[in-house]
Amino acid sequence: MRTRWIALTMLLAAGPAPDSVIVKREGSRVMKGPRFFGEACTVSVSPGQAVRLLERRGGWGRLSSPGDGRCWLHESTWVDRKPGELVGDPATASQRDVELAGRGFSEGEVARFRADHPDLAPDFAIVELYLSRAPETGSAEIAAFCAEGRLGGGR
Amino acid sequence: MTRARRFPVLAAALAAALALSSCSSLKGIPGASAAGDYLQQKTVQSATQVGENAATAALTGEFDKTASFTMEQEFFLGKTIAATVVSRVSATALPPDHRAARYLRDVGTVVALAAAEQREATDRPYPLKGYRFILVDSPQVNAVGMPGGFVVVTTGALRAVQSEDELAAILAHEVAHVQRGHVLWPVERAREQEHMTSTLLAGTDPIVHAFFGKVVTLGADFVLDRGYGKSNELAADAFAARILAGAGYDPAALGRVLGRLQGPAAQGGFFSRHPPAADRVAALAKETKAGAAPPPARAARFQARARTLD
Repeated sequence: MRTRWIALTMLLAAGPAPDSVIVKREGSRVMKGPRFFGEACTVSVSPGQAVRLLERRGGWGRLSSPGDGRCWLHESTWVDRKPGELVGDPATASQRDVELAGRGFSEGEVARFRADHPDLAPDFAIVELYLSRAPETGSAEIAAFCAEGRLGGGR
Repeated sequence: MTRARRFPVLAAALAAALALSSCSSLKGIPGASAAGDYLQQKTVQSATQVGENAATAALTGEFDKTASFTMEQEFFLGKTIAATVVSRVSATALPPDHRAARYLRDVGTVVALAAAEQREATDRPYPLKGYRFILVDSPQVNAVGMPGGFVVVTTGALRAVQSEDELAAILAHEVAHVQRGHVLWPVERAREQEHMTSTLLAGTDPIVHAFFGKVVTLGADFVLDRGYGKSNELAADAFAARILAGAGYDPAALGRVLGRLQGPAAQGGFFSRHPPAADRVAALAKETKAGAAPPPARAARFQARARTLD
């Protein structure tokens, strides 16, 4: 029993396997090949979903599932920064940067800002209208748009 | 940071916390609330000063990359900057299902995907909810890209471009700024300089609140008026030309639109005056070769969709 608990604890502490990634962003495109300008898979992935990669090619990973090994996901789907992650020359950053990273950049702070600036209500409404009703064009429509205009690098 | 180095900071934070605690326990005593007001006022002044310092740093190119934001943090900041920018540029936007707005979204999506395929390790993460291309009603010829993938384009800009390739060129330049993180550097710089005040006051709500408001204003100032300095503008132009080539558009369209649309009607954003358009066109000419003429179907849809504004 004790051995089982130790094994379970180690498993949880280890987190995702090295070839696994967590989907971070919304509206991720799952493609039939390692390129955006092509045919899309009919499956989808959602933020928070852990997916296993069978291989990596360039900035793309081939999914174990969904898609039975026939679908690809771009790294822009899962690559994110940790709060306060240091980039560029580490010598120019400090622990202080890490402590302050992103403090206040939250939904709650946006709400407070809006309460302070009621005159911006129509402008926030415009931004939210586009957020809810104008996502990036879907993969099938983009494929047709590219074919009509001979775009996509001839791929 | 070692324990020895951390101690003075912690001690200072503790002292500041005790000082604030004393202030709050002395309510009703003349002068006590004034001390709290004084501290808050100093913080707001400090936030204003770091904004000015960051602006100077942008123009002189003195940016060092430091601690970064997550895509979620960037989204919330970008959404607020976008609303501020919309208010300054125009009070109205075209409905998202307007034919011209949908066309802008189609071209923008192609550009954004071509940029993502050329992603580098130091680039910003792709926007949390993807890009949003917002078409606002204004005679100004302008386009601005903001954190979180918000890109505002004026109807004046859409009327001024002469082809889909030129429209894609404007969008590619803005997407380049967003992906390379130019928009966030002034904010990160400001945060770094503001840090000590926040640490001493233990990140109290009024401080965070004042800082957030300041960086929103700062961000809107940069995208609309100040630009990102010569090196970043040239870098965005060069990357935009590669994006255009990757998407199948004419990379020389960027130089064409820049050269033609300078003047009183072109205001800030894409038409930043740092550096002058002539320098940007010359730099692009060295790196780009004109592509083939657009196929008839691409030219026809531009006339049919972008010109629905007239």
